[in-house]
Amino acid sequence: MTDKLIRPFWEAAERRELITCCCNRCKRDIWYPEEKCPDCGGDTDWRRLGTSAKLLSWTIVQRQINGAFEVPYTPAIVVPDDAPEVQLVTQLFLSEGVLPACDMPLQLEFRELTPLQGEAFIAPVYRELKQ
Amino acid sequence: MTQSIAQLKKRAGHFDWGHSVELDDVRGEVAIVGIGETEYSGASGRKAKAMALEAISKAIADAGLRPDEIDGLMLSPGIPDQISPQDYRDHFGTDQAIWFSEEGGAMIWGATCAHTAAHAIRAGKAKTIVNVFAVDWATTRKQGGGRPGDWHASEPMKAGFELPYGWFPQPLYFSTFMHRHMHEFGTTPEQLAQVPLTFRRHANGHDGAVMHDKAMSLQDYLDRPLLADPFRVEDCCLISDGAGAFVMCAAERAADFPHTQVIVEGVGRGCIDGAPYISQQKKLTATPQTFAAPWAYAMADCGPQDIDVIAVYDCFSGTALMQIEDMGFCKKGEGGAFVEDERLHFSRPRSKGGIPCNTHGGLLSHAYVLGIAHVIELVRQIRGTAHNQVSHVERAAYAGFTADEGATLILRKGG
Repeated sequence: MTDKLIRPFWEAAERRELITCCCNRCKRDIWYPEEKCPDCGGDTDWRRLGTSAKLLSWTIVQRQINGAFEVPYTPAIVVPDDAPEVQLVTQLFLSEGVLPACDMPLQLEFRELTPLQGEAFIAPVYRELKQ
Repeated sequence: MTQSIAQLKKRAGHFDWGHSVELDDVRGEVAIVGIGETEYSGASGRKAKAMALEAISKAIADAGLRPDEIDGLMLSPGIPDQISPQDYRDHFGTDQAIWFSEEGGAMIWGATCAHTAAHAIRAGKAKTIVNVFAVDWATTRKQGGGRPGDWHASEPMKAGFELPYGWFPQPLYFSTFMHRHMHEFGTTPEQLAQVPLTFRRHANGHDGAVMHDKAMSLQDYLDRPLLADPFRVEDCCLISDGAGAFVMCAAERAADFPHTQVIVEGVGRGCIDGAPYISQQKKLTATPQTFAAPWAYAMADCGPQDIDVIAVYDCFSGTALMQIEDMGFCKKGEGGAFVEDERLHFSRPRSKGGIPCNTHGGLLSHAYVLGIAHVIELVRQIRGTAHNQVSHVERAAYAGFTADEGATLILRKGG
């Protein structure tokens, strides 16, 4: 059951698309995905999101703590500009010399992430918006 | 005299990103009359069950009771290797009936157990209740039991959307939230440092604290490497073995016991909306204590200005800082400046502008027993028998924290 709430996001990522769950009836975004809209009870679907977002907050993992990735890496929560209800957990890949700062504008990109265990996969991640 | 739910609700207020649980008024109904603890340590080889029974045994003795006089047992749900009423009877060689509740233990239940106990006493289910919490996580971790991702992987949305990015376990959640606090309010690493440094000084003055012999200066702290920016290891709770227990009964019986009376004045419980996924919390700079404390104050008919000492669930320095704000000791966002100037140290009481906090050393420097030792420390503060004794303690407050929920317990000196 939860698989169909999760798998479409990662299948979209394979197509280089970022999607969010949303309500078919009242059109609100629903994150994390649910089968029925918690507001109106309507069926839910997916919609594609644009590439711009703002950085809500971040951390840099400097010492190995969870066996997930080689350190350092920069997990973050971002809010897509066209989906203000969505708080997307992701990673930042900022250019050298650019430090993360809350509220900074970000640009979506797709990268292959390579966890320490398991297979590499394509994931929506963000870099700084280049003016 | 008793306030209705509607009255409490009106006084506690309304919130847009979470809510207070509607606990009915139990002010003045329950007293804490006995406390007991095992030694706290790193990996010790001790078992949780044996430690629970040792802490209970000491709490019963502290209350001047016999084991056959206990007829209620409370402990935490979801913690492995806890005791049962039969374990209790087998250990103490008794045969009484024991009312049993898994709405006890530590974390938020270290606070709300007093409310649950009040109802059990009212309903005649039990008269003398022991609440216990035991962990052997230092030992089991050393034995390789459980990895950081295990619990997170069992939550489908975390497994689906957070683990793939390596956003786990809890130090990453709260370090992420702390950066938002630093961004919005200008909180500095040096200000944040005051939390672990003050708690460490308290532990240095408490010979039962795991970090008793380990002093730490601001420079020591700043020189330590970052774990998950802005947190260092020193901003994260210890992993410990140990157990604590306390005995509760009707407040009208409190005078029959050997110690200064400790009366439960208020209990609050709050929950963020959109639970249980903390990444979706709509206000990263605050905790569910926001919704718990006002309810407890309303029930106790007091405010933060009336509290003399606090014990705050300090799984991380930043969560302690935010909860101090959320309990109303300073405005939201002013916590960084507030915790400077020794305001959390036991030597700076309310009369000198402070709010002594985690006077035993907390989860950061005393032991990670998830809050049971916090409540026990507050009982000692009210009795006047704490290692780092605050002068003139009338009221004390515990702030508990568990994932998407917070809870508050307000205690007052009785008699």
